[in-house]
Amino acid sequence: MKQSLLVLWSALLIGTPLAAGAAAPCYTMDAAGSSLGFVAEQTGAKFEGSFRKFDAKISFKPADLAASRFDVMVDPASADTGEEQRDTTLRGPDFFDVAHFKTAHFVTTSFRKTGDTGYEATGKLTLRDVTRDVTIAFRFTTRKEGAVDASYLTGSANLKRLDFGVGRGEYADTETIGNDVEIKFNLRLLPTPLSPDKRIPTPPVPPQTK
Amino acid sequence: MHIRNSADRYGAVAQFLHWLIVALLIVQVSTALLADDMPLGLAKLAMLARHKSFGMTILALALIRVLWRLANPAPPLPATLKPYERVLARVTHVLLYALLFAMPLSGWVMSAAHNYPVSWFHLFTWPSPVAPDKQLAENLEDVHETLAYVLAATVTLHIIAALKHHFVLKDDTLKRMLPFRGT
Repeated sequence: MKQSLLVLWSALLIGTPLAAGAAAPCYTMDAAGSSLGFVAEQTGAKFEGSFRKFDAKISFKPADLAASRFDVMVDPASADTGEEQRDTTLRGPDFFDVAHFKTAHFVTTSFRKTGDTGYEATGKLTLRDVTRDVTIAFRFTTRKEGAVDASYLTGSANLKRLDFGVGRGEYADTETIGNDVEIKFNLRLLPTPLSPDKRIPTPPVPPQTK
Repeated sequence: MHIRNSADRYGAVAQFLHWLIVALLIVQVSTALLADDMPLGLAKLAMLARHKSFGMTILALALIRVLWRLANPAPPLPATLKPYERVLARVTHVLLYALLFAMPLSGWVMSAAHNYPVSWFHLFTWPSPVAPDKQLAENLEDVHETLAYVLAATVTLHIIAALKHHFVLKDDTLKRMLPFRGT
């Protein structure tokens, strides 16, 4: 009885972490160490802006890309281009229309490796009321920072603002405001701790036989 | 007509630069006043972009003007000028040269501080001299506007003096800068 219990618990001991390892590791985004920005062109000159509020739930496993998933929520009202009038216009009905569309959302649907250290992911981006496929190119690196293993998801994507209806009325003119927009991101990720019910169970003390 | 300045008149290059900049300054004042009146929108953005392109052109021409002036001295001031008039003439000219730099430079830095990098007629983008900085942008708005008034006052004085020499004193001062009159 004692021996079979031991075998059972040993199997669970070995089996559970193996089972947990089969899923892609999950990461939580460190907002303070992350950035999400965009490069756009205005009257012939490129300028940069960023989104101050966004969050990403990342699962990534290079050895099993099919199990990987990025889920990013962005608050378009947090767009900051360093100038009040432009930022107000961006929040307005002709651009992000934040009164009606509170979030932008990107969810990946597939991944592939490109070259030695690069990857590409295609996903659905919902901006305003339009959902379209967007492909991002990125690198994923991990390094020790003091006591933690910090990972960095860095990359970019190119999209056309008019594809999402961003810039309406007179602002649809691409001579003055370029159609091409580059999205740049650098996310600092920390491993998400396992939830209590996924922790390795401690074996019960076998009953003492007298 | 001579290319370089002589003892009694300005050469072709100096004259060309002078009148070209006069024309561009008129364009600058016009685009600025027009843009000021426009509501926030694409047309205003485009008008200001034009203003900036012409402004950077003036900056480049101002540099060429100064270098050209150093390479060949201007004709001396008329001998008939009283000492205070000589000082006033010098001060006015130096101020005009200084403003030809200060105005576009303040505009360029202001635009960069607003995070509106300056394009030259959609052909290329000038590097931004500063990082985006809202406080700096606000301060430079005041500087740029004040300098514009100083320029307007100086130019007015300059024109009045030229016309006085021409119509009242009836000397060659204005003719020296005109392509079709004079020796």
